Amino acid sequence: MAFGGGFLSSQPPLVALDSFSLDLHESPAQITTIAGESGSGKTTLANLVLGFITPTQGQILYKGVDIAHMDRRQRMTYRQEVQAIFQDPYEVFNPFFRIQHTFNLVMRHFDLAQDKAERRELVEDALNVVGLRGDEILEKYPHQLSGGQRQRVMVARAYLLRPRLIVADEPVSAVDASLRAMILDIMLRLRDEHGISFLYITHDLSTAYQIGDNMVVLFQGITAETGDTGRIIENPQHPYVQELINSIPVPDPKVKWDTDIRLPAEETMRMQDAAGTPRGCRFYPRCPHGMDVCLEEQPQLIQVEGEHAVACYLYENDVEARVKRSEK
Amino acid sequence: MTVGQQTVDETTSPARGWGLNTWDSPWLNFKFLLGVAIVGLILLFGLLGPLFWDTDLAYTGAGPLNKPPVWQEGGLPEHPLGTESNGRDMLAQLILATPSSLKVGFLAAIIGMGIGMVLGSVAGYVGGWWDHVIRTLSDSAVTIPALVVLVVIASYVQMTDTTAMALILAAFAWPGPTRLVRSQILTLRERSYVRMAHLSGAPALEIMFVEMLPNMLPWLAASLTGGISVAILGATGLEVLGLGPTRVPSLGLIINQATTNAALVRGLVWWWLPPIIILMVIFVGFFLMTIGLDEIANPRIRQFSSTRRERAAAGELPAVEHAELGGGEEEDAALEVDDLHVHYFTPRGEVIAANGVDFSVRKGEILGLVGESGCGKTTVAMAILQVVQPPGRIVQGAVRIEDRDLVSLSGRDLREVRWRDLALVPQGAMNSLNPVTPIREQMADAILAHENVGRLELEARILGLLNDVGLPERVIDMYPHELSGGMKQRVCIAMAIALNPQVIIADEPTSALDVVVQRVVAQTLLEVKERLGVSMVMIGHDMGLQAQLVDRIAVMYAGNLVEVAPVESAFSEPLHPYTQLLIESIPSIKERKPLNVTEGLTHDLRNPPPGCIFQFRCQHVEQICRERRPELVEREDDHLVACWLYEPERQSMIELEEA
Repeated sequence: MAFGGGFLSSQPPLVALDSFSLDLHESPAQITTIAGESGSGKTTLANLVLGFITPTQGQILYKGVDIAHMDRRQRMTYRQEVQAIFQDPYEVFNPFFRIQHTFNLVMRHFDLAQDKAERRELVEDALNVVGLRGDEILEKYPHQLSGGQRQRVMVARAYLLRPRLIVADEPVSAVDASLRAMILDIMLRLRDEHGISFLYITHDLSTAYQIGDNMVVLFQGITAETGDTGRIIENPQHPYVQELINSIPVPDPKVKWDTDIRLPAEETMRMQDAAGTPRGCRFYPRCPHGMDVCLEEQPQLIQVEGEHAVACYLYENDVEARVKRSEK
Repeated sequence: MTVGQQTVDETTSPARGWGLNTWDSPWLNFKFLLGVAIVGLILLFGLLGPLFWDTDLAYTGAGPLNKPPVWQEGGLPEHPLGTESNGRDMLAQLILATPSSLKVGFLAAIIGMGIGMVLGSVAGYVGGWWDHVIRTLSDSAVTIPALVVLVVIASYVQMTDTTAMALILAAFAWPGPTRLVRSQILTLRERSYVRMAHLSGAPALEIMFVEMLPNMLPWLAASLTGGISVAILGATGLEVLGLGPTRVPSLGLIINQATTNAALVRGLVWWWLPPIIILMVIFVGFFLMTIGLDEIANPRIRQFSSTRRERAAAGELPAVEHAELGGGEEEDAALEVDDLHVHYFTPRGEVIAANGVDFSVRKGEILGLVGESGCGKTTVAMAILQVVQPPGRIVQGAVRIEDRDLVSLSGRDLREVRWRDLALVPQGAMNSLNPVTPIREQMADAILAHENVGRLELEARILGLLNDVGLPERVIDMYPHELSGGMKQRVCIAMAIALNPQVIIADEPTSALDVVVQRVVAQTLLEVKERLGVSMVMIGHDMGLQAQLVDRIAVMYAGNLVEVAPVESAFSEPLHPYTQLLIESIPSIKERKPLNVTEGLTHDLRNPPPGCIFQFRCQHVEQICRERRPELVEREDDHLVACWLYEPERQSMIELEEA
C-alpha cells in the first residue's frame, strides 16, 4: 500500500504497508493483534480490510474472493460479515441523530428482521450482550451517553450483524481503566460465545497480552515479528519489539526504567537511498545490533519456532555467509 | 502557545452535539436571531405593505412633485415619506422596491448555493479527475473581478425582470459555496460516523444527504446569508448604474433616478436616503445572521466571546470565599490548592467538577493527579492556572504560590504569574504549536512576552532550553511539521521551562505518544525536574507511567480527592477502595490475569449522593458511607485517605448521631 506521488508531486510515494501478508482463519475464532507505533501502517491495514482504501499492489481475499472485485451481493455479505469498532467513541456517532439512528441504518440496509417487533428484539438482544438496555439509551443523543456506553453501543451495532470478523481499531485507547476491562471482556465473550474473530489493532501491548491469540508487530509498514501473543511478549526476538516491551512503564515505583533511551534525529529515522525508496532494514537507525548486512535489504521473516517468525538477520543461520556475500 | 485552549473533562463539558430539540440548542444564538428578526421585519414591510398602502402611487404623476416627508414643512399626510420629481409616492415606491431587491438576492444566492452543492459534492465525494476540473474552475472564478464583468454583461443584455438579473448574479455566486461544500465533504468523509454508515451498507447518496448534510447546515446557512447580501449589493450596484431592469422598482433604481435628477444637489434628501437606509438595515440583518451562524458552526468562536463576557461579568460576582479548611500551610510547598470548588453552570444543572480539592505540591517534587476522564483532574489543572472555561467557575477556594492567591488576582498580575511562576504543558501540546512559525519565533514570543531580552541572549537562551530537553540545536530553525510528535512535545516542555517557573502543570503530557517516545518524553521531564528543581503536577490516567514518574500521587474520583500518598506506599499499600481498583486494573505484561470488570462512573455529577462519593462502586460500603462524607485524613505517615474503613470510631459516630 502506497500513498502520495500525487499531482505535481515529485516525492516518491510513502509506503505505508510493504509486502504484508496475513491469513485469518474462520474457526476457531481468534483475536489477532496488529501492534505498532503510529505510522507503522496498522490503521492502513484496517482501512484496507474495511475497503476504505484499495491496495496499490496485492489483494485481500475474503473466502477466496478479492474484495476489490466483488459484485453487489458479495459486497453486502462482506459488509455484514466484516464489521468494525473504532477508537474514538465520540466520533462514531453522528451528533445530529439519536442513538436509535445507528441501529436503524443497519436495519435498513441489511435484511435482518421481518417486522418492527423483531427488529426491536434484535437490537435489544445486541444491547444486552454488551450490558445495556434499549429504553435507557436508544432515545438519547450521543453526547448524553458516557464514553463507555458509547463504545459498548458500537460493539452492539457490530454484533447485531452477526459478523465473522470485527476490525477493532484501538477500541480501548480512549476509554478509562475500568471501562477498558469491560470492553476487552466483551471482545473475549464475543470470541468464545459467538465465534467472532477480531483484528485487534493497537499500540498497547499489555492489553494485547491480556486478550490476544496471535500477534503481528509492525514497524514502518514492515512485519517485524509475528506469532503467538504470549510468546512474543514473554520472549521478544526482534530488537524493536524488545525496545517496545522495555518501554512499557512498569506499574511499580520500585522498578524504574533501567536504561537510558535516545532516539536518533528525525531525518535519519527512515532508511532511504538517494531516490527516497526505502532500503535495508527499517529499524537499522535505532537498532543496537546493526550489522552491515542490515543496510543491504529488508530481512525476510525468519521462523524462530513454530509460527513465531521475526524479520531480523540476527536470527538467520547463514548470516555469516550473507555478510561475506555483501562484502564481495 | 496558549494556555486557554484546553477543553474540560468530557462529562463536565457542556453538550457536544447539536441536540436540535433540546432547549439549549445552539440555534438559539442571539446574533442569529436578531438578524433573522431584522430581515424578517424588512420582508414584512415589503410583503404586507401593499395591504395598507396604495402601491399605484408609485407610478409617475400620482401626486404633487417634490413634496418633503410629512414631518417637514410642506409635507402632506397623504404622502408621509414625500414625493419625488415625477410625483411618485416614496412610501409606495419603497414598498414595491424592497421585496424585489430581496428577491434578487435570495434567488441569486440560492441558485449559486444549488450549483455549489452539486459541484462541491461531486468534487469532494467523487474526487479524482472531477475534483481537479471543478476545483480549477471554481478557484479561477473567484479571481474574476465580478462587478466589472457584471457591468459589461449587464450593458449588453437587456434585463427585463428581476429573474434575469438574479440568473446573471448567480453566475458569480457559485464558486464560494462550491469550495465550501467540497472542503466540508472532504472533512466529513473521514469522520468515523460517516465510515460507520459505509459499513452499515448505506449508499453514497444517503450518506451525503442523511449523514453529512445536516452537519454542514450551519456552514451552508452562513454561506447562504453571506451570499444573499453580496448578491443584493451586486444587484443594487447595477441598478444604481442604470443597468438593471428599468420597469420594476428596486432600491437601486430609486437611487439611480435620484442621482440622475440631481436630488443630492437639490436637497431632496427624502428621495435618496430611505433606500440607502433600508439597504443598510438589510445588510446589518444578514451580517448578524452570518456571524451568528458562524458562531453556531464553530463553537470555539462562541466560547471565546462568552469567555470575554464572563470575564466582564466576573467583576460583579461576589468575592470568592477563602476558606481556611484542612490542609494547613506546609513549609516547603511550591503550590497549595486549598479547598477548591469548581462548578459548571450548565442549562441542565450545576456540575460539581471539583469539590473541596485540597493538596499541595512540595518544592522539587512531581505530584501525580490521577483519575478517570470526567473525574475533574483537568478541571483542577485549569483552576490552578485560572483558565477555567465558562460555564465553569471557581466558586470557592484558593490556589497559592508563595503566599499569593491566584484566585484573587486578575488581569495583568495574573498573566504575569501564569508564565513566570506557573507553566502548562497542555494535553496534546504538540498540536498547540503554530504550524507556520519556526520554533525560534514561538519560543522567543513566549520569553519576550514576559522579559526584555536582547537578541543574542535570546538565541542563547532558546538553544539552552532545547538542550535542556535533549533536542539538537538545529531544531531552532525548524517548523513544527518537520518534527515528530515526541520532539514537538519536548519543544512544549522547553517553552514551559523558558521562564524558570516554580511549578509546571503537565496535563497528560504523553497521552498521544507511542510507548518508546512516551518514555523519551517522560525521561525528559524527569531530567528537567532534577536539573532545575522545578515542581510538577502530572495529570494522567496511566498508572504505570505515574509509577515511573511521580513522587507522590493524588487520586481523584468524581470531583473529590480520595487518597494522597507517596507513590511507593500508594502502590504497595493503597488504602482507598478506588485506588485499589485502579491499581488492580492495570493491564500487565508480566502475567495474564482475568479482567477485572467494573462499572464506570455511576452517579450524575450534577447530583452527588450524600455520604461517600464512591459508595455505589465500593465493596465495603457501610451505613456511615451512605450518610456522611469521609474527610481526607492522614492515616499513615504522609498517607492521606478519605474513607471510613480507616476510622475506628465509625460505629460510635453513627450511634452518636442517632442519639
